[in-house]
Amino acid sequence: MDALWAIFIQICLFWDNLDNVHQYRSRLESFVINRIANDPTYHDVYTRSVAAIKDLIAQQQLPPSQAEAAAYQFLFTDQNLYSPPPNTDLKLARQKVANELIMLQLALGGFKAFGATNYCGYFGGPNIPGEPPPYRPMEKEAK
Amino acid sequence: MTREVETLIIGSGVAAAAFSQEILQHDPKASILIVEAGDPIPMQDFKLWENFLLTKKAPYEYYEDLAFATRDLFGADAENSRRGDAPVELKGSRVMTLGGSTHHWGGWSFRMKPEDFNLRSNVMAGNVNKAAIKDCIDWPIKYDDLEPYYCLAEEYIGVSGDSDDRTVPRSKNYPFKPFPFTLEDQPVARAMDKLGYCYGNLPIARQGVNGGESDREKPHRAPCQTTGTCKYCPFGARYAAANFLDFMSNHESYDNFDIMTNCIVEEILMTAKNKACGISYRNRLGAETGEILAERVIVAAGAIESAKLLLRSKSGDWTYGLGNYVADGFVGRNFVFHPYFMFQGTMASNPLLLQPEMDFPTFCSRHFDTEAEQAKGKFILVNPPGPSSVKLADMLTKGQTKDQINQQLRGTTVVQLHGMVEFFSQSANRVSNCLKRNHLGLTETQVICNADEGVKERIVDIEEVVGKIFDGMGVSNLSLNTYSWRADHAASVCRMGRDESEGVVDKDLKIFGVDNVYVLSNAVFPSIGCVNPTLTLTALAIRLGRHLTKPGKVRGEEIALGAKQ
Repeated sequence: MDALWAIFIQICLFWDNLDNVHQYRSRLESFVINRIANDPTYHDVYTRSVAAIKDLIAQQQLPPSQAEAAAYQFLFTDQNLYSPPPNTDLKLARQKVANELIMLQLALGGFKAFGATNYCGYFGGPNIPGEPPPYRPMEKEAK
Repeated sequence: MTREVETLIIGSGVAAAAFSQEILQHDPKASILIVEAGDPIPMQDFKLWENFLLTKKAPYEYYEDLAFATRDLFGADAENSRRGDAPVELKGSRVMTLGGSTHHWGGWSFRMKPEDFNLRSNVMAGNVNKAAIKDCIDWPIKYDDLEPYYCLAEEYIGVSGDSDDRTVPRSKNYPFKPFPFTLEDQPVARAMDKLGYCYGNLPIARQGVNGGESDREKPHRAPCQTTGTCKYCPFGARYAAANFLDFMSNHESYDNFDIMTNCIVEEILMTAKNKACGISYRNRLGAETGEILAERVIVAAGAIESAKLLLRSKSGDWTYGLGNYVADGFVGRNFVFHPYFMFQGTMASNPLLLQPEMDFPTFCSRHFDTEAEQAKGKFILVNPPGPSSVKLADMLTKGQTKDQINQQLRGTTVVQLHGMVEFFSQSANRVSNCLKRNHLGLTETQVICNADEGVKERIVDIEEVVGKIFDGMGVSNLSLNTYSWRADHAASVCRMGRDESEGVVDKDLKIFGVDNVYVLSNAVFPSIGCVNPTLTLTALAIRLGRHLTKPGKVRGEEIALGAKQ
């Protein structure tokens, strides 16, 4: 779980789009448990992906302080890793692990850095009469 | 195996749920059995919801039709049969499992308008397009007959809407306040203001937080959290019949209410020409067959399956299928649905950073849903959530950096305007049974459908309207992105008429000439206007429930049965 949490942290660092990251650890843990419960092969997916990322970091010919960031940047942005099918462990790490954690991170609030108030998958809250809606409403003068 | 019940309901969608609740509110000891071909889908399951969030694959997709066969798609990957020049698609148009199509519906809860009930009379009174409605009829009931039941239906499914919007007459307020227009609605609203086109809040079956006055409000429904994953709501806030049926089965004291799943109804059994005695069925997952004896049969299996079941129910008295007085009678004929259009254009820039904040629309226009437009085919316009080019998840997972995403967000943006157009019934357009079984064990469906020239030409008129709106929005490159002929809102194939020379069922939804079989689906609509039929179907379900129980007070509410009929 620590290794998956490390990926989540790196996503937040790379896109710099979620404050107070540590409050989401329990949500990440339940997410991982649910993914495995929904599809037991995810246990193997996570195990192989974590090992592949560890190898990727080790392969970086950089000082240890920079190797991790460089490895994750490659993991998150390399176009070959994005192309299906996930026929290597590193492609698996990108497509089945990193990209799913990116989608989770956006739904937890990462989207707000791009200007919106609500997002599909975010629990924006109810529409309470007399209070601002939980999304950006039309400005009054329009009608 | 043989069972006996008072009321047997075939199908388990909104019609079955609303009807059975109405009966049980009147008599909690009423004996009701719902039979359903599919299985229960786990509802409000967080791990399934998370999977849906990631994959966009809903847990009920298995219970949709497969695509029609093509040159490249055949064998076990395809099913059903299609003829005619209209490219009708069944895949994605319905869900055949416990809860029915309320699993995937958007919750759009429009009332039909008074003129929709008089389609034939109105068009014949004018001088336009009379030939196109040669097979159409008026409804045998009118808007005023249904209006009290619309109010009850809005309470039952929990509609949030603007009670001050008088586009359609109403005698009671919506149970919940409308969802305000989004910032994404602003450009189209301002353009329509300039053009003088009216618009309003889209009424939608998502539970608000200001209800509670009605008996019908169910305490187990959580308010909408605007999560935008409405096709599989983690809270049960959008109406889904499966949630209500689950509550009725497990939390209400309805001792004689039961649901039987994996039950494929083969035919309705008759003891005389005017009397049914039950059904024969087989278990979808095994070889078990049996009969269920019933005093009353309600066919609520969706439009297409309801018609197919009647066609399969042949007997000595009903040679052509139950409800068909002649060969090629009305059962299965007059098939209609809603062609759905999506126009698209581009805005040169996006300074408001417009992007999808929810997955349901808040803005609609019924400006062209009027009697004046009726002869040519009414249409509504809906502003869909989210310019299609802004998909944050795609941008991030493809590896775009924050700067790249922000730059793209502010740049050229795709906008769309969607809507539905009325499709007039034609006798030759029909559905029927194939010999083969589909992947769910139901008989496959044959669809024969040709589009008249009017509906093809109507899209040109609509494009002109959308072009004016896009001009007002500063949107260029107008194109018709999609003109979908998916059979959403299939209807009219067992239509309601004044007598058997016009339709299959009477104004109380009883098959002509049969004392105890009712059809309760979109199949009974003589026409469907240009709006989603679910609210109207729910109103008909509640009305039928009241019709079949004793007149008088039901939980303090007075509606005299058939008072205006």
